Amino acid sequence: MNLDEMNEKCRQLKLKTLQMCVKAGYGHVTSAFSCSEILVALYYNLMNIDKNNPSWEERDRFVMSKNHASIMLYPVFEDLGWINQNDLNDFGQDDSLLGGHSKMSIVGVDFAGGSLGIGLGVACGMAYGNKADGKSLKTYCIIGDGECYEGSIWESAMFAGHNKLSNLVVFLDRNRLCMTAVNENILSQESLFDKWRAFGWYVDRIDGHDIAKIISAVKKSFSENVEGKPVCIICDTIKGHGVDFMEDQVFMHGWVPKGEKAEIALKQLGGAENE
Amino acid sequence: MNECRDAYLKEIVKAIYDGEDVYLVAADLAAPCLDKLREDYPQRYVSVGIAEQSLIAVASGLALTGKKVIAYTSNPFLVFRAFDQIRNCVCAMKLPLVLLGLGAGFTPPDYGFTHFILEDINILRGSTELTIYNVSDVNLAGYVAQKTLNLSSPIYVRIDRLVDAEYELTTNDVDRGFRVLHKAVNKKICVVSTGIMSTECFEVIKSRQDFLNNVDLIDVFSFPFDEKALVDELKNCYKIVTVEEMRLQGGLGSAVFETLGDAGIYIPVQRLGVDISRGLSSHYGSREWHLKQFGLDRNSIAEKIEKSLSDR
Repeated sequence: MNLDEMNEKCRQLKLKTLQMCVKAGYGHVTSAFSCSEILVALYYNLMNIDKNNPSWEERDRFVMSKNHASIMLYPVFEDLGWINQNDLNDFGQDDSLLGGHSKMSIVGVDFAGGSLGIGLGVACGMAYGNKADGKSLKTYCIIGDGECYEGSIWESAMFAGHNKLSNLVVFLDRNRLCMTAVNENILSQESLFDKWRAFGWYVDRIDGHDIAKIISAVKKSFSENVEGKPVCIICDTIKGHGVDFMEDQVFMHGWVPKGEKAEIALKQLGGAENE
Repeated sequence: MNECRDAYLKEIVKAIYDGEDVYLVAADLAAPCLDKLREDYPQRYVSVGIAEQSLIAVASGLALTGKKVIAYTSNPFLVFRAFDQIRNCVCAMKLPLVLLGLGAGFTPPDYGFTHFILEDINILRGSTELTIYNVSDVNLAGYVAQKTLNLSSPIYVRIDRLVDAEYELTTNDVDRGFRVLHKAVNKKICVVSTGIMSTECFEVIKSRQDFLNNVDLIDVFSFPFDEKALVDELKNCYKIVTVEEMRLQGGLGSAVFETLGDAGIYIPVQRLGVDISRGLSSHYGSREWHLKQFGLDRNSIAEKIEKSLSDR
């Protein structure tokens, strides 16, 4: 898939995510939209997966540590043929397969987080186990910048750095917003670059909405990371990216547009609510 | 003295040397019987530092790669500091791994309340998919070690540094989650205990002929246990005394009450345990001293049993 096709795929997946959430009346849309391009880069370029065998033992693994953004995974899995459109239609309904935070029972999910700060440690364990077995597969993980307030993130960062888990690639979704305020006004987080580097990681910082840069940053890390460090790519992103009135807004965490707002949002993504 | 710990860990070490794909993840806790293993198989002893949340998360990730994993550190930090990880990674995902906590009750006694392990079982008893083993003798430690190698769901193994007793353990006991340590000729009272208190109660009963004649003793070592089987054991006595070195709220006595109530059996139950709902003692002391403060020393237990017998 070329870059234009991936960008178009990203738009389609965002649209499906929003349609799903508008219908259900809930979902962390803005959190999903800040890491949409990362997911597309992963599932349509970077990750070694078998579309016809989602349980393939040698596949790369993915951990969505900020798992409220896992709603964006569902359209990806549907597009890959692992779940179906009816599952998306039922999102958030009684007795449905799909909900606000992914579960292990969903085909394609390698770890079901939800409580912030947990997923990175689990990704570390996966990477350690696969490295011990001499497997070449990678573990990819997305964490949020708000999640970096959790002390457990730094416990895991220390573990990965010490053990030189070069088979672990973490994307830090730096959308700069928590639920109630701008991160830097809650507790200052910068310099995140220096912090991760100090914990023994190979660190890069890119525009997290540029799919080409995401892909090239990961590939560059594989060639440049000669010391075998775990990889942290800080992705500067915009929460709610792609819908102008949802972008970079405090108090839109977990917010789903309704009525006219929903129609405008869907239209901006190239669709309509009843499409 | 760490007989149960060694009984458990030596089996695990042997399994690793025999080729089992077992990993010990530890938060700055080792054991002499692990020293050689750490030299011969350094990769199998994974240190996370003093970081219990990382301990459980890393152990969970390892388990997801198909390995047999033991998350090992001191109680109470294993349970209390990392409860969110235990709840969401281990239990909710039904990961087949072992939470191995060293320490129980008023230990280490001189360390004070921060290090006491009084509510771990009470809290974990409500977890989904988790089986708790409160190891009350060396044979049980060995059994749990064997079980570790063939898990289908998580277990919490609570090892008391001072338990060194050795009791018979049958397949039926294991299936039921409890065992009858003493069966009296005349069943009047049944003492139900757990952990090291089972040994304490056994010594109390053995010390007097009237106790031997009239008092049954049941060691509940697993939560959950076979409720129907326990009701069958208890239903013909006229009083039950539960004894635990744990907080009363949500502990063994509560579990017995719940079991009897659900079965519609109404037998008086006297709970002996740790009630700190009105505050903590500001004094330090030995484990025996602490037990005495809560009426859990042998003399106090004997007095309670004697009074129960005379009340009949």
